[in-house]
Amino acid sequence: MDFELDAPQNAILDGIDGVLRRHAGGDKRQLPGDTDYDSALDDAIAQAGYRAGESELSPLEAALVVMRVARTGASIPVAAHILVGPLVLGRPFARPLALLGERGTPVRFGAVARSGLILEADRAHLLTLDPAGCRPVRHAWSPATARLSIVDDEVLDAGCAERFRDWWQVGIAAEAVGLLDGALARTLDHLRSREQFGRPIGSFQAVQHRLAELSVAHEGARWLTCEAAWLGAPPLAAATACAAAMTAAEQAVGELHQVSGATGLTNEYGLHRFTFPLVALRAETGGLGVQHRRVAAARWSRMPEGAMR
Amino acid sequence: MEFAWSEEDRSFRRELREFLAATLPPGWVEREADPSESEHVAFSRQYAKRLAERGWLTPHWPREYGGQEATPWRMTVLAEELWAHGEPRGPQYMNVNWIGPTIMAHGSDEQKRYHLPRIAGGDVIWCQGFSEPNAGSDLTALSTKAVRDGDVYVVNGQKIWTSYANEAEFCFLLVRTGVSGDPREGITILLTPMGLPGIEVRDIGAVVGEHAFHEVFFSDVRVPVDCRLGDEGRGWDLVRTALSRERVGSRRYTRTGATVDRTASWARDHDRFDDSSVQERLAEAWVACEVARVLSYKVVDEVARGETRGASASLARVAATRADQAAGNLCVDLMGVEGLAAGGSADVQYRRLALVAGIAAGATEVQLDLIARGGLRLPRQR
Repeated sequence: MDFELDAPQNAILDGIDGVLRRHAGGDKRQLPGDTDYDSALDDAIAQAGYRAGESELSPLEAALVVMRVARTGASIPVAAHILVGPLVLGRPFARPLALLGERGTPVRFGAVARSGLILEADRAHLLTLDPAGCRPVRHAWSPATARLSIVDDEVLDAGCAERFRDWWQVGIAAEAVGLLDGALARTLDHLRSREQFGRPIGSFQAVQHRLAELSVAHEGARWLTCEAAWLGAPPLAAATACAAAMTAAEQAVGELHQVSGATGLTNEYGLHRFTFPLVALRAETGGLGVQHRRVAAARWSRMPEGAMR
Repeated sequence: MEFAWSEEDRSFRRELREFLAATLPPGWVEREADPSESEHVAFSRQYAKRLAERGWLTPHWPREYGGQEATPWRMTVLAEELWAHGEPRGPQYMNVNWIGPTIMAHGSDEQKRYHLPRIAGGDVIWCQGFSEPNAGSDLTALSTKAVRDGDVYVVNGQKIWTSYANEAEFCFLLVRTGVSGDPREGITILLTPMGLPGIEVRDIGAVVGEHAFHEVFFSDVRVPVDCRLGDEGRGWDLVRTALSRERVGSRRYTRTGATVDRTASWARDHDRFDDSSVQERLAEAWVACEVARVLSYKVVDEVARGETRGASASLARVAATRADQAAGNLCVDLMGVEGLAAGGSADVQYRRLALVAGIAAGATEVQLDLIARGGLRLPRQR
C-alpha cells in the first residue's frame, strides 16, 4: 500500500502538465466556443503517447493522467482516448472515440467522432462513424453533441464486453474526479476573495461545512478510482468507484453553483466548464441508480450469504 | 502509488480470521451486543488477555515494552478484522492506542513499570476523564480543580459522558492546576485510580445504551502526586500528542460493511433483494463504507510515512460517520418496525451506532471545520 506517487509517476504527470500548459486553459485555449472539441490538445496528447499500455503507461497511471487533463476543463474525450479505448480494444482506433450508453441518443463528441464503443446484449461493438452524416443536437451540457451516423458495426470478442463496462466505469470516475478538482479550485478562489458582510464568504461556517462534506465525497472517489484502476477494474471496485464519483458529482454541481451565486452562472466565471460535463457524465452512465445496482450485483450476487470483505 | 497488501499482511489476516472464528462464541458477531453492557465488558476482559497472549493486543508497541513494532498497515489488518467481528477488545482501545504510548513517552519509571505491563496484558480498563458539563468540543474550558497539598492533589469537580467509568480501574484525568490568560495552560494529567475515596460514578440514563454514559464526581479526592503524568500545568501539549496517536481513528467501517452485508442477506431471505430500489439502498450504504475505508487508508499511509498534519484524519472520520448513518437509514427503511424491536438490527444500527457516530470522539462539525481550514484552506471564521 502506498498512496504517494513514485518518481516515474511524477514524471508522467509532469509530462502531461507540460502538454496541457502549451495547449489548454486561459489565453492558450484555441477553441471558438466552450462546447467544441479541442482537436489540437487531443492530437498533442495522442502524439506524446499518453495511452494505457503504451510507453509503459499502466492503467493507474492512465487514470491519473485522465484526472489531470479533466481538471483543466479540456474539451476532449479524455477517458475514452487515454484509458478505455486502449484497454478495451488493445489496438489503434480512429479518434475521436465516442462511448455510447445506447443507440439513437445524442452522444458527447458525436459531432466529430470517427469511432464509437457501445455495449449491447452483453457484447461490445466497435462502430465506424461518419461525422459528416451525423445530426448535431444543441446541448448545453456536453460538447460537440450529435446523433451518430454509423457506417460499420463490428461485434467484438466476448471478453470485450465486461472489460468495456468495467473500464468505462473507471474512466468516467477518473474524468469526474478531475472535473471535480477543477470545479472545486475555481469555486475556492471565489470563496476566498469575494467579500460580503465585511468578510470572505468562504469564512462562513454554513459555506465551509458544505464544501467540507463535498471534499469527503470527492477524496473518497479519488482514492477508490485509483484503487480500482490499480486492481485492473474488477467489477465491484469499478462499480464502487463510479458510484462514489457520481455521488460526489451530484453533490458538487448543486453545492458549487449555490455557493458561487449568480456569478457562478456566467460564462466568464467558467464553473460550468467543469460542472456541466459532470452532469453529462451522470446522464451517460444511466444515473446513480444504475451504478448502485451494478455495485449490488457485483457485491451480493457472486458472494456467499453474509460474506465479509 | 500501489494498492496491494503485502504477503505478510495477507497471511496475518488469514491467521487472525481463523483465530477469531475458533475463539469467538457462536453468534457473537451477529448478536450486535451493546458494548456498554456489563456482560460484553466482562467478555472483553478475558478476550483481551487471549489476544495479549498471542501478542495481538499491543503489537505496535516498541519491543522494550513487549510489542513487535508492527507497522500501521499491520495494525489496520488487526483493527479491521476485530471491528468486523464485533470488536471483542471492548474498551481496550484507549489504553492500548494512546494511554500506554503516552505513558511510555512522558511517564516516570515507576509509572511505566506499573502501568505498561498491565495494559499490554489486557488486565486493566481505563476511562478518559476529559469532557465536563461546560467543556465538550472546547476541552480547554475544563474546570475540575486540583490543589496541591503536600504529597497529594486534592481534586474537586465533575466529568461527564465518561464511557466505561463504571468498569475502569484508572482514569486518564485532566484537571486544572492553574489559571492564566491562556486556557491551554494550567492543565495537568493525573493517572487516577478509580477506587480512591471521594470518586462517585453515576449512570446517566441514555437512549443509546444501558451503561453508555456516566458522570464522575470528584469530592476532595486525594490523588498522590506520583500519579501526575508529566509536568504540572503542561498537560495540554501531552493530550494533543496523545490524541494525534488516535489519528487513524477506529476502523468501524468494517463493522458497518458487515452490517450492510447482513442486511443484503436479510433482503434475500425476505424476498426483497430483487427489488431494484432495495439494491440501490444497499449499494449506497456499501459505497459509503468503501469511501470510509479508502479515506482511512490514506491516513494510515500518512502515519506510516510519519506525516502528522493535514485534514485526512477528519475526512476519514466524517466518512465513517456518514457510513454508519447510511447503514442506519438503510436498516430502518428496509426492516421496518420489526427491525426496530429492541436488539433488532435496525434498532442497533440506528440507535446505538448511527445516532452516536457524529458525536462520540469529537463532533462532526469540528471535523468539518478542520477540513475547511486545513484541507480547503478557507479563511478562518471570525
